[in-house]
Amino acid sequence: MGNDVRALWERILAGKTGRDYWRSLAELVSEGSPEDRQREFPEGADERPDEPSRRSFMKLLGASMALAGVTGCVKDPVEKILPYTHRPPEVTPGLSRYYATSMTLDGLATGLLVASRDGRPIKIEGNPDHPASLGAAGVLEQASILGLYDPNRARAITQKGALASWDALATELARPRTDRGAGLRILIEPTASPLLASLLGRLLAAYPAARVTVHSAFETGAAAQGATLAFGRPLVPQLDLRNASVVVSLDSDFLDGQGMHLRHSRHFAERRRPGWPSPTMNRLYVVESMPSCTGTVADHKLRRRSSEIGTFAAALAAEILLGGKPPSAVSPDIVVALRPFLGREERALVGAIARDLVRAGNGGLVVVGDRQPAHVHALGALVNSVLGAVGSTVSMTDPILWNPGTAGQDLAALVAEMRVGAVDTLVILGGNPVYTAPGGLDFAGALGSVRQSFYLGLYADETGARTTWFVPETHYLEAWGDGRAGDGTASVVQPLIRPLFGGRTDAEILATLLGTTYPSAHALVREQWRTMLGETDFEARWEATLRRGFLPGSEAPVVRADLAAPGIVAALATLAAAPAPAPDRYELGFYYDSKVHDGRFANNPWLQELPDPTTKITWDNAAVISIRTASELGVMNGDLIEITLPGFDNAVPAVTTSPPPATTVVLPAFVMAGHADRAISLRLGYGRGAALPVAEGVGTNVQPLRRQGRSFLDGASVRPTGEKHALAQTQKHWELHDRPIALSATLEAYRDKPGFTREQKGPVLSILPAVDYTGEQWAMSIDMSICTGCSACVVACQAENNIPVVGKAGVLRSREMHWLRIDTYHTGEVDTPEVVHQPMLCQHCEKAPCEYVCPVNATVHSPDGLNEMVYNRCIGTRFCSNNCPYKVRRFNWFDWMEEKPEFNGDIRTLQKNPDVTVRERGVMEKCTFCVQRIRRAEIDASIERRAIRPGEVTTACAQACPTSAIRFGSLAHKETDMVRWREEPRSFGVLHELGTRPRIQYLALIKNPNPEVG
Amino acid sequence: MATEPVFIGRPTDAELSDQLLSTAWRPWRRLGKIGFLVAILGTLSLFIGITLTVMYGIGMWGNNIPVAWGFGIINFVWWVGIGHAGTFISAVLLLFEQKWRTSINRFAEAMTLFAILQAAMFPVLHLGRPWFAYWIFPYPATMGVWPQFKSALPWDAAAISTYFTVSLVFWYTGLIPDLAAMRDRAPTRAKRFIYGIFALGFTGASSSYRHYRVVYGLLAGLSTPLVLSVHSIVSSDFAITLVPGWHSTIFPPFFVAGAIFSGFAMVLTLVIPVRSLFRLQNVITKRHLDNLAKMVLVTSWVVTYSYILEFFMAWYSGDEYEIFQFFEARPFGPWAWIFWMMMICNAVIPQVFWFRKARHSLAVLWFVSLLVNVGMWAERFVIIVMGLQRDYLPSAWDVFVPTYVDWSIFLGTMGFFLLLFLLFLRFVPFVPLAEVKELKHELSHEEEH
Repeated sequence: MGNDVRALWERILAGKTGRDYWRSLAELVSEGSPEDRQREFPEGADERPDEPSRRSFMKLLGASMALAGVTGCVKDPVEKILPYTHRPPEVTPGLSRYYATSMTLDGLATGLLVASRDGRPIKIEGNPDHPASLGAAGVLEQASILGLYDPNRARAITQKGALASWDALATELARPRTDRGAGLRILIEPTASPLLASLLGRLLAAYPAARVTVHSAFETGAAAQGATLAFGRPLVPQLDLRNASVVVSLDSDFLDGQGMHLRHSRHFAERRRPGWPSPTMNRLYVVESMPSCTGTVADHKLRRRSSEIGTFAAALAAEILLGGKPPSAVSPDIVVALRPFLGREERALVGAIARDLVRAGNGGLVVVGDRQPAHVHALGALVNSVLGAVGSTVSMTDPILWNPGTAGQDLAALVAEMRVGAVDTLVILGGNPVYTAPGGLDFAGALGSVRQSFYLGLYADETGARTTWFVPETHYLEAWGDGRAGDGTASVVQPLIRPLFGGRTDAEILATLLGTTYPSAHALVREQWRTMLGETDFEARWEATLRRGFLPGSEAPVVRADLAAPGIVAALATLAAAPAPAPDRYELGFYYDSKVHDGRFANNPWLQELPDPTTKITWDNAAVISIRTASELGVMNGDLIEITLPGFDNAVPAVTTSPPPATTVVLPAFVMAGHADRAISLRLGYGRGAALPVAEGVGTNVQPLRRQGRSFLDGASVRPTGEKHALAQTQKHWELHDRPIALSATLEAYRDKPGFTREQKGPVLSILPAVDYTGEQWAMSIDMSICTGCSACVVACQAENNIPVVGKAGVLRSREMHWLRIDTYHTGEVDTPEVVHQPMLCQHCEKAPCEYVCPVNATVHSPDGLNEMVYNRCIGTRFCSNNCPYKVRRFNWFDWMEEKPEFNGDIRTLQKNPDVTVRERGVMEKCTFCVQRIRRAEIDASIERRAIRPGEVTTACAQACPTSAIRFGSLAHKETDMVRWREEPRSFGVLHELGTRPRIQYLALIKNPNPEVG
Repeated sequence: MATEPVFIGRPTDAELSDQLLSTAWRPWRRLGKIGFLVAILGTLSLFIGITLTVMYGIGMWGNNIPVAWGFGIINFVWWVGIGHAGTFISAVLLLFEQKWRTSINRFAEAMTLFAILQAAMFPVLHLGRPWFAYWIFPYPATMGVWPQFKSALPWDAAAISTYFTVSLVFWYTGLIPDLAAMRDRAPTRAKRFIYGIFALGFTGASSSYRHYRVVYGLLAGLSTPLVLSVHSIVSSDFAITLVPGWHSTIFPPFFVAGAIFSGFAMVLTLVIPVRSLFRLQNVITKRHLDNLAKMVLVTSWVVTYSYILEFFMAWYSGDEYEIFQFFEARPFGPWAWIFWMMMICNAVIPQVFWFRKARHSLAVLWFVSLLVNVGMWAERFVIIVMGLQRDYLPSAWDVFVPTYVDWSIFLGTMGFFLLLFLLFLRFVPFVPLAEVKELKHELSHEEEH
């Protein structure tokens, strides 16, 4: 089979078969192997789509009995109810209140507003004033609400697996040490929390011999180290994309994957929208291996392996400094060191990019991803400095993350100490290092040599099962704490609810280590902020901070940064010395998963079921490879491949006596257009253990292939195993088939011919009488130019509208329930396609095809222009779905609450939005334009005897969108962007010629390619 | 070339009565018992499938988004179609005074009735909430809500229930004289009593016959338009939509032709073994089979013409979605082999009936009739599933894969159909005795002159 597949891929790549072939290949790739299609019934076709235990025969028998007329008599348990006589003043039954808090990920905080209803938090929104959010909330922030109500969270303190009390634990922790801390080791996640920093400072003062290891799945210090090379001191870049007209991203997913991505997205989008009547927009070049959201937005996407990006950066710098006239500001040493790199990449291409950047001057920007090593960051800093961009599109500040300084110790050193028994007490604050530590370090084994270990975690996970003591951690929505945003803004974490399962915060554990046996996180935070806000008028200022969620003006001050030539020269030397990759080996690239991150969100059913923005895979991770690599390997989507990495080559402490064996991981391949050749991209966070029932058995753990301190490495060998694995994708066809669905054009073409969407809008002939639309008429405009595909809207919709999770089997059967999905289409070249994202939801057609086919009037039109779904009246003929050309209707094939209680039931029901019906089995459902929000606004307006104000109502998706690509409102509010956008020449309606008259208008995707680049 | 007679030999009335009524009196035979066992097992599988569906939901089936209709509607359309031949034979041919219809008409009517019964299950069963199926009927609800008459489905429900009612009454009316004969010749008191109840006091007096004739003729007149209307309405379930491959004005005649096509094939499938097993070669002669085969050939050409027209119209319309549906999705997309099977079974294979030899070979007749039934099921599959698998937005495309529940229900309806049919053969004279006698007299009369 391998050879056939290889030949097939070869023919496609050779272009002999043209686009038609690619099309049919897409079919082949997406719909199972050729054997599968020959087989009459694919595997699993004869199985009940569920595990057999639950749907037991007895249950069936019981139903037959019931059907036969035998009815059981069940006495309902007595439930006492109590009157709500003393209502807390801040609770209004039936109304949501919003509280500001912040969520910390990778050490950086994002400000949020959390809706609380009758005392329980139900929905997360961005905090419009917070610099890291600007009102948007990402996928992970949105979904974290479900993590709060995760029934699988740990509930009890344990000592060696047995229940233990806090007293016992606190006694153990607080016992004064006599060794000055020599045997004490703290393992924490990256943090910028002022409180933690001060507690750790106090701890290190008390125990000067103690050491702190800051551990995360990936190193976070590369940017600071790069700045040390470039500027002589550790600094971090703060991007200001509002000023950027030409952006070059070197392996940076700054629109989705990094801290501050919400802010970056918003600012990027402000420069990205072509606008009208004088369309201008920024230009984005992305050089990357694995296609990211940022990469899909790029005007020019360059496929490079992660290890080649350094060379690209050097070639770009060389082209800027040597290609034109050399600027005088740069030291001649740098020029000399750069010279060998001139022409290391195709000069026409890099030269064009360089000239574009030089033309942009201080509007140019090079962003280097955290995945890249320090010397690449140094080169990025060099280019930015030369362009004059420092101070304009990028400014430097001191690092935001807390740095242990001399008390720091890296994970490898810690493991070495642990192994020789030098560690007496190890306190692990979150991060699940047993799972996230790179393969080969054998953190788990070393843990056995520690006299006593403590682990604070949300789940009794891989680490929790191995430490002496386990303490349940509070979810951030239950905890007091603080943090700093990526720009340094001090933010508070305030709880919305008392801890559901008890639990402690990291600050409390540290305070206990310092001797307080009953610490209160609240008191600790107040104490800390007292020093930050000052004694005078503290209460008022503290309250104001809590209300706002952060301290304005507390961002890190900008630091002047001057190029230091020796560092740059050293960086170039490192680059020049890098070994050439072995020709028969593959590069492995490791990435945080866009959904489960490093695995910490793996037990979140929303996130597991969220389609990956670029691959549309749910409930899995895969080895993502390019078409050419697939051709070399002779594999198709879902073919299991075995990746083998030889024994390690680096940074393993001397205590390792024998070279460790090669590591092998088997996982399914996924072929992705736009991926770099001879590279394999792997997502972290899958293959989790039994403590996380939702995540258990989902995907493959690729950690064994990782090596300390590396986000990519060379030298892997790959072998197809010949077996298959079903990948559950929500979208399998990426071709547009020249259909007028997701229109796009270049900026140049748009200027020349603005009316290119003319045929896809305007009045359509109809024999039906025209309807007079008066009053509020709800509508939506979506600008595809600024949609990055990040999927925040999908999760926002899920949270707002009580959308059930169906599980992998359900997705495989194409029964996912998302009301809003993001369709992604590829056009153009086969291996570097242009990508267009199109959020697709109910179009609320004025002439809705679903409405006239419903036999019982269950889907009808409201006077304010909504296509309404009347669940009570629906009998479930599904005729409406058949007749929906957009296929946005979703059917309750089962009672999902009952069918998949492990995803939808238990205390997760506490998250449900009480304004939205939980749909019964057998009824159709779909996007309602968040009708509950519209009706709430109408009620408010009618109480106040006024009309609904422009901007008063927005949908969950529009609210969450980081780039504000989705706008919602009433057509009557002519002054809003939503209406103005529709007037732009590039607006259109999807499948306009069908005459459905959709209320959603899309704005065509405009790309701004550099005419100089071929 | 001499045509085969429609009646062989000249038995006396008494001999005829003995021959045709004996099926109801004679003891169980082994083949019969095996047949019943198979049918009961099939019926059981149907009811297990129904129980699973009603207990857990439509999710037990293979349906998904975009293919929201699957086996349920395929089976529905297929079974309704099969029913058509019965009505066509008993009503339309009666009005056209086609003598050859006589000995097979009851048989065909029973087939209609049982086929509609199978079909009628699906519109209810395929609902997400079947317990609210009655909402589709225009009844005076307390909330004042009516069905939505723009949709095809309330009309569908009306058409099917009308069709079933008329078919049942028509069939039963035709049975009355024979039930009376059964009563008169019943060997036991109990049987005489039971048949007596169903005979409704028919005495065989000329006044009884006169009334009977009038009613039967009226019902035939009432049934005839139904042959055209029912499947026309069923076809509008598809024709009124936007779905590529469904949105077509030729659907009503196309569906009616297909229905009669499959119905005649089903009559052949059933009549050939029954004729041999019950040694009815003298009343169901080669002439009958020959005529049925000719009908199959004619309707096959109507269907084939419709296929050609569908392709032509798709191309001629210039509609890219239609073109893709007909020229890519169907012949080369997922499940393409079913499309080709449909073409071969419905358009190619029936062409053997141009040859007299084929029309007179029981084996060929039977196999071709089976293949036509397969082909017509495939046609429903092609229309319903393939249209939905590949509609407008490629992002939403997916494939349909049936589950074991789909199969248990589909095969189960065959079992249930067989069960009803065997019961019919066992307890009711399945060749209309009175009419055959009448035919015999007519023929003798013609000979005498």
